Amino acid sequence: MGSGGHSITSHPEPPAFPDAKAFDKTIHEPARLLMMAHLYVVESADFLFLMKQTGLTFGNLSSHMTRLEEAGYITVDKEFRDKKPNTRLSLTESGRRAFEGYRENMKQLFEEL
Amino acid sequence: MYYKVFKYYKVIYVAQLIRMDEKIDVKKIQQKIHRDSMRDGVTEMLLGVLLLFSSLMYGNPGFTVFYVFTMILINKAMHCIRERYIHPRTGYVELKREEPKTTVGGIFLYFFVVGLLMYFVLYLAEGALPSSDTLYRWIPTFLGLMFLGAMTYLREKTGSTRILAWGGYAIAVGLIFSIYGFASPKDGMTLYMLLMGISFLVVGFIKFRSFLTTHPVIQEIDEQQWEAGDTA
Repeated sequence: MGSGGHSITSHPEPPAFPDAKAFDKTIHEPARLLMMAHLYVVESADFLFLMKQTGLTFGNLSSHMTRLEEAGYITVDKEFRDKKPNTRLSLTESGRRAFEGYRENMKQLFEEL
Repeated sequence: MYYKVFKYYKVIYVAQLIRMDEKIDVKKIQQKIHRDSMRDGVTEMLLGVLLLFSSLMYGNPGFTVFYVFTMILINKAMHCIRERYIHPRTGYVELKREEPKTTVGGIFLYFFVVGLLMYFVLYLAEGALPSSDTLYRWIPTFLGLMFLGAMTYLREKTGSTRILAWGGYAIAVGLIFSIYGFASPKDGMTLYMLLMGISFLVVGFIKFRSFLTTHPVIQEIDEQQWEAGDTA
């Protein structure tokens, strides 16, 4: 380093930045993460239950449900019970693995910090 | 400057990650789900009815037939209550099934250890092997300890310390009944189950009534209704 030079290399090396790319983008979204976490601890749950537990609105939950279903992380069974629509959701094996992987990544990241 | 900006940006980013990490605290989520599933008072009512009928059967063997019928019908009745009153308010959830071997094994182990300890304490107190009358007399305390074990298990499941109050109450009543001693040692046990049954039933019913008033019925809507703006 020169005495009068003011190059960027004169800055101290910043600490390692957590790599966001390591996270599964489908899950790394607060609403979807919340849905996955709730479905992870139960066998299955219906739409109303998830709405109540997560505090998400019908529209929000519905759109995130579609995203997770498209990714193959959840299965959605729609039926009519007592002439009322009822949607039952459960985590697929691949969803379970993805969620566990996400948690593992998160754990590693915190250990690195 | 560059380093400072980077540092602040990193703090915000890490704070966001911490928030995300809190969202996936599966143990807390599981405990909350269990806690919520017990808010309706149905479990207490179920336990109350079982204890009530157990005491009636124990007090009068003629009630055995009713007891058997109750055992057969109670599950169906509770299922109907949940379908009719609870699920339209909370939604439906199927909780994770536990390994029955582990649960039953744990219950028997606890039952055996507590029984053995009580027998040992009574032996020390009496200086001789306890008689059947003494054993009958202390059954309410034994049952109280069983309740405490069950409530400790539920405390772990739900994360709610309040539930332990039932364990404390069960032991206190058990001790009072055992120390007081009834003319017939069997009466102590019968009355204990009767009192506990009524207590559970009353508290369960109050919780159930309060649950119905504080949790309005919600209904899932289909996509056409949503698009039409009917969000009721």
